[in-house]
Amino acid sequence: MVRMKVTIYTTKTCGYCKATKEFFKEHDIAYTEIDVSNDQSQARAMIERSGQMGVPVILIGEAPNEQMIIGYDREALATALNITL
Amino acid sequence: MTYDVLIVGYGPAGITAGIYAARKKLSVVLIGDLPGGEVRNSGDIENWPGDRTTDGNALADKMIAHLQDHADGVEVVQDKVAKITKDENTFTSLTESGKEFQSKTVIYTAGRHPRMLGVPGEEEHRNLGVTYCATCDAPLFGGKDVAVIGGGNTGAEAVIMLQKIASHIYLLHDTDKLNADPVLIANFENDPKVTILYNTQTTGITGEQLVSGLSYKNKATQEETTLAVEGIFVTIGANPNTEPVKDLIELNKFKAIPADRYAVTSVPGFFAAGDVTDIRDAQIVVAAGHGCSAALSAGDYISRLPK
Repeated sequence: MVRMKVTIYTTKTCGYCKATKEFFKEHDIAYTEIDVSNDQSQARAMIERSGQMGVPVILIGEAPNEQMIIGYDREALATALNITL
Repeated sequence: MTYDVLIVGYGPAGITAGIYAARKKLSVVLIGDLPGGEVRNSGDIENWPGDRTTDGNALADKMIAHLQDHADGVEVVQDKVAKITKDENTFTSLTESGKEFQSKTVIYTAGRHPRMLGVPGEEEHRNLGVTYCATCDAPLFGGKDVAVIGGGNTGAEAVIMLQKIASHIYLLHDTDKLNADPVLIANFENDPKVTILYNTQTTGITGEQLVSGLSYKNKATQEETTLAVEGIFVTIGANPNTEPVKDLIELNKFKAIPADRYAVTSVPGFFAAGDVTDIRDAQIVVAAGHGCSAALSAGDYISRLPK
């Protein structure tokens, strides 16, 4: 199985971020977490990169063909990661 | 297999019901998509007895760990129930990912979801400056001018979170008095960074891609004003998550499930607890208590079923 690069932007207090990370764990998906809670430059970078002002933002795959998923959306994550629910 | 109890919802009501049902040695499956429920999206919590100050994530983690102590009796499925039907004495619950579960009883604790304003520009700017979860998204608005709409406890908590982050905060409320607890209001009523606007009605949200403005009307003078803000936190209450049971049970005019203090509803074997019901107080401690009653009621119901 080809491991896809997975990045998740989070804030410490965001429940849906936690739920998304639980989903990754359950399906054995390795991910990189960028916590933007206390880092305004990372928060700005996320907004510029994703055009979004809400967490979680999940990027799957390699730039420039990476896929972006906004929010905790199990079905979209499953499709992007090629896993069966 | 047919479970004794199927619990819908992974918040305080559902988790408490799970713990009580497991201790009664009932077979239980709990289905929910957000572990800990909406509690996760609460900020600081100072009214959960035993924990003087905690926060949503910490409390949710503790509740889940407690439920996991009963992992041999409670199967947890991270999914969302889409529809529940009843046939004779058996309930069938279908999930969004297409799984089907049979049970003798259902304890429905699906909670509520934040209500939308229903004004032009809101839907288009969701996650582009409009947010319904201050706890999640407040850190993204560092140094920006923002508006919080709704002066209840959730709105007041949003203002408190934003005081440390945003540049200026407008709190818009629809009457001449905030509904939030005075102990919360005291945190910001004299803060020059916070402007409280009373008797307002939000009329629209504007912005190219990201939000840049909010229009509101003064209900007394009918005068319309536009604020230059980049963030809008909507905290005007919540609607019950009752779509999956709308054909199973009669809802009240707020689409909540009428349930008594024992979590008994008009459908035998279908119990409902917490914020999804017509209970008056949407509080964590109340939801947990109601979840306990639901499990005890379900146990009682099962013991009376024909063998």
